[in-house]
Amino acid sequence: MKKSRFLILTFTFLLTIGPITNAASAAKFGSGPLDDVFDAANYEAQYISDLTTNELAAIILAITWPEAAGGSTSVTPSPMTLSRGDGHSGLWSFENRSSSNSYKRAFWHPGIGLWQIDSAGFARELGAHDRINSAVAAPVVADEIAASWESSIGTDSERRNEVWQPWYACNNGACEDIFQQIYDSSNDSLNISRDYSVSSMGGMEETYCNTTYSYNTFTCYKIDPSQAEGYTGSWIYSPYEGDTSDGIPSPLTYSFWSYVQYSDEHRHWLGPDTGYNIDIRAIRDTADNARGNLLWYNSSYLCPEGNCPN
Amino acid sequence: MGLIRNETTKKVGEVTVTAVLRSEDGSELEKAYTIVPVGGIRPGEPAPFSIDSSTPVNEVASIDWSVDASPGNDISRNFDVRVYDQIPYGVNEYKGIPREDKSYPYVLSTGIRNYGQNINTAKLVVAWLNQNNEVVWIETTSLSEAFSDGVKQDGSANFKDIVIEDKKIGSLLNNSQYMIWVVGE
Repeated sequence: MKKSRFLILTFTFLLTIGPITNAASAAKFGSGPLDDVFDAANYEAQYISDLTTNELAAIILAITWPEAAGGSTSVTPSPMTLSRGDGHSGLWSFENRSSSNSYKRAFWHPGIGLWQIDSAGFARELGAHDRINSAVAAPVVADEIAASWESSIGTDSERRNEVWQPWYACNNGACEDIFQQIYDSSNDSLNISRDYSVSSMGGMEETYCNTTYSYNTFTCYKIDPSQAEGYTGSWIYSPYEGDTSDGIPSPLTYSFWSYVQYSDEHRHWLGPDTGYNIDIRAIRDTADNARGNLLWYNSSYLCPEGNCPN
Repeated sequence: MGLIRNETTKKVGEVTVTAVLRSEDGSELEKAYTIVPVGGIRPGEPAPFSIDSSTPVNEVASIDWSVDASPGNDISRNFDVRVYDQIPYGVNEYKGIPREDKSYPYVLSTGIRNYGQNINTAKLVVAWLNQNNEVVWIETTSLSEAFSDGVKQDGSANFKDIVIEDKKIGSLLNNSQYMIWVVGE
């Protein structure tokens, strides 16, 4: 663990009686993810002389509503948010973006989670489950923002604009507007309302898996959009099979299983979950951008909780 | 445009590509040269180049190519390169968000994490390749103004966006793969 007990306790103090309010105008955010963001911001802020924990937390938080909730702070961004805005043909099962594809909802979403971490950008090593789990994703995002903040020069507003550059939805001041809404620099306070119905895992299920060729178990995750916590209107909508003409919106995946092993990200779509007559798996080398670099197979060897494919 | 490859066993520094254009009778029409925009090329690594000449194509019967390289130097190449966005030419919406750049150019938005020594400046070079792996376009960009003081070890930085307004080139890049190099000094 990087953090000391003392720091965590200090942080809890801040959350309890300090800057968080429950005013009607407060931006809504999941309780579990909020703890994760503060934890991450608190750690990074130790090393940054010109940012407080709350200010850094606000920079991190401001990204999530434009990226995962359509820009509205009156709803709680869903940690499970799966991107629907990239129609690259390589992301469609068997790289087949056509109406003849019978397995459209075995779709590899490239951007995932509150910060829509993408395999083309930073943190390519993360699997889908890591990007959903804000306890994993928040420290990664905080580290990236801190690294960019410390390298940048200019006014605070200009520097925020630079650190938000990796997030397209922040363009045109979207994140700055929210930053100003949720952070009061006069007393270093935040205006956030906790949504206790949203956890760090966002509805994702952690369990164990083995394979048909090994009884050795490892941690795997079931990602089922129907179990997503938080606001899902920005990503769960029809047409669920996507638009094959230009790929946008992309399909919405059926539930799938996620894990990372030996520097490969695995996603498995099993017949009982999808209703398809085949199992499907796709693999990405974690060094690679998913677009054009996925390997697709019409079978699976994954055994969630000991239940192997037929 | 094309690619050179370092087939030596050592990193090389500045590379110069020379093309001698010859007529049908073998006489020299023109000697053109260019410096490869990527320095510190590692063994086995390719790098792009673009070379211009003023001689009409129909007068050129053959080209003699040669490459000279200086020894490797302290150029830093230890970066993690990030492509934030590759926005296609001609589309009015990206990631479900209407575009504000109304001419809808091709845009490549990039950044780095510096895992090497402190650098004062950095250059990003992109080569786009067609399906035959032929170089069809090359662009170079520098760090955004906000990073004009350089990037320390473990720091992150953004490059100025590469923006292609030309319809023919933009459309070409929409359907091309790209390779990226970053050189820091």
